[in-house]
Amino acid sequence: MSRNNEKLNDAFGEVDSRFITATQTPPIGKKRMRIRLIAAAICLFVLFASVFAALLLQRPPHSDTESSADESTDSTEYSALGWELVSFEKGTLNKKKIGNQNALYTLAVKCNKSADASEPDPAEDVCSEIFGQWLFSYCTFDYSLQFSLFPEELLSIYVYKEFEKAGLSIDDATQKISDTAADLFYIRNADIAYTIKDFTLNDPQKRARFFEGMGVNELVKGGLDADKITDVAHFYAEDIVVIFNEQFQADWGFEDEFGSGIYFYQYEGEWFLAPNMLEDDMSIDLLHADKNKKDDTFFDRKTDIGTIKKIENGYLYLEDTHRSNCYFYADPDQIKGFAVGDAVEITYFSGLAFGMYNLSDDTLYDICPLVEITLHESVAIG
Amino acid sequence: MEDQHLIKLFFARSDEAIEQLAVKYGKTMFAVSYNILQNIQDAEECVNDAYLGVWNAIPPAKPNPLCTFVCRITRNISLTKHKHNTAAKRHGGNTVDFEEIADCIPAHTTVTDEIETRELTEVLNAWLDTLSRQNLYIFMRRYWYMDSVTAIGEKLHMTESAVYLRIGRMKKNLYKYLTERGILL
Repeated sequence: MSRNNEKLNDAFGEVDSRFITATQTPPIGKKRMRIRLIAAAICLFVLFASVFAALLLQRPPHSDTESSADESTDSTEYSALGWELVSFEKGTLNKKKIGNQNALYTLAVKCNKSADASEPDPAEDVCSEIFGQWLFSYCTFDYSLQFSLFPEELLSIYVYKEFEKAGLSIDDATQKISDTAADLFYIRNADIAYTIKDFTLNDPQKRARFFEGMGVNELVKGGLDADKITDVAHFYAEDIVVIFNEQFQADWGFEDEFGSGIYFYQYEGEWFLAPNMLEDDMSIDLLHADKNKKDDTFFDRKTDIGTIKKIENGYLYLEDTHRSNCYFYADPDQIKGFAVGDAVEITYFSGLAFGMYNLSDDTLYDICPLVEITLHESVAIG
Repeated sequence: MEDQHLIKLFFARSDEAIEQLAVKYGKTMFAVSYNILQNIQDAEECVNDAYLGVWNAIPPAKPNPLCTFVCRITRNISLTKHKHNTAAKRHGGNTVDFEEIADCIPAHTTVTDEIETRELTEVLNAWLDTLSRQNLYIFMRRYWYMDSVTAIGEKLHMTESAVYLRIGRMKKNLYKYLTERGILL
């Protein structure tokens, strides 16, 4: 055992008892519980509504006026969750190519401001937008979007030197990372919503905390002058919802992840995310990923045969496969002509099979990107 | 049986103390040991040694909570056994990857000589305090209890890849935390 290991292990073995006690039983996912409670409430409501409707069967149908009022509801609301999320829509839009498929995706960010928010500050909107973009890149590993949120000084320390080692220019390397992410994570659109709580600008305690930690020393190492940091902003992000392709919800405990809040700073008139939010190592790993290698960590190409059981929003669900409880996401053109009941042979990337909740049945599934699909006559059904 | 009553039995040097300890915490202790050693016989041996360790420690110790106390003793004994097995190349073949906790530290980096284990533990305590409940559960179950990623995923209704991803991100976060505090050079 190396010296590092030994010292860390010895120290870790002696950590406070409360951590050991607290982790004897798994925590309850509050958000899942909340969604299930909402689902139960909706079921009860539907039941009562059905009974009530049955009693009123003799009544004439609704007037046209009532119908048009219903239609005026914002179609972009997350009705599938049963939550009223939107009181403020910031909205950023990003478009880019997905791999070689020329597909476009859009990102919609919706941001609630907490009820206790005081006078709105323009910096809050800027920071909110930065956070929305960062959250999207965090979920999709699209580091080309993430890099733009950090100054060159930081990227030069952590990222660019690795690009050089790989013999790639900054543009080429960024493009490669972006293409790799797109191959792994098919996105047509992502809806991200969150509530900003307790926004502060230049709060003395938060400012001190920012300069003590958050990787500011790394910025200085990169050549940035810390004295030119004029403002420090901080907020907590709550009720974070990330939905991909209107079908799957990433429920990865975001609130927990960002429990101590998110820091931003303004340097020579431009706002940046705190350096500690840069996920440099994952981006470098992606740079070295190779989708042509069968057992690549990220891609790990696999083949399987099965029968299409469901096609939902571009996602295929197969039965009689080796891989159970998994949705395969395809480019819509790729699955044109395929129908439920077809026996198929598929190739897919299984390296990062993300667990996400299907909004249609509130169940956790793996999501794997589909590479190829062909008809396969010999699949036994049932 | 309540922990307090169990501790009273130890203080009274009653034979029933070990018996009741085995009934209440024997399975947990075995799980901790087996996760490290991956060998039933070795794990049983370590749990027996841990019973003796508890017997020798109480009194004077009056641990609260008792479960954490006995698990810690079991873990330490099992780790020593693991080191012994590995050194003597008698390891059963099922490598346990608890050593991966230090994977977050690049090979060229070293833990500064000045820091004592106790100080490092305090820093780790502070870092663990920054984790969410779910992340804390994942990290502790993986590196303290040595649970498999599959088992953690099942308990949290998460996929293995999601657990791996969380662990990867936490280790990176830990590395930054230790570096910022001058613990890693």
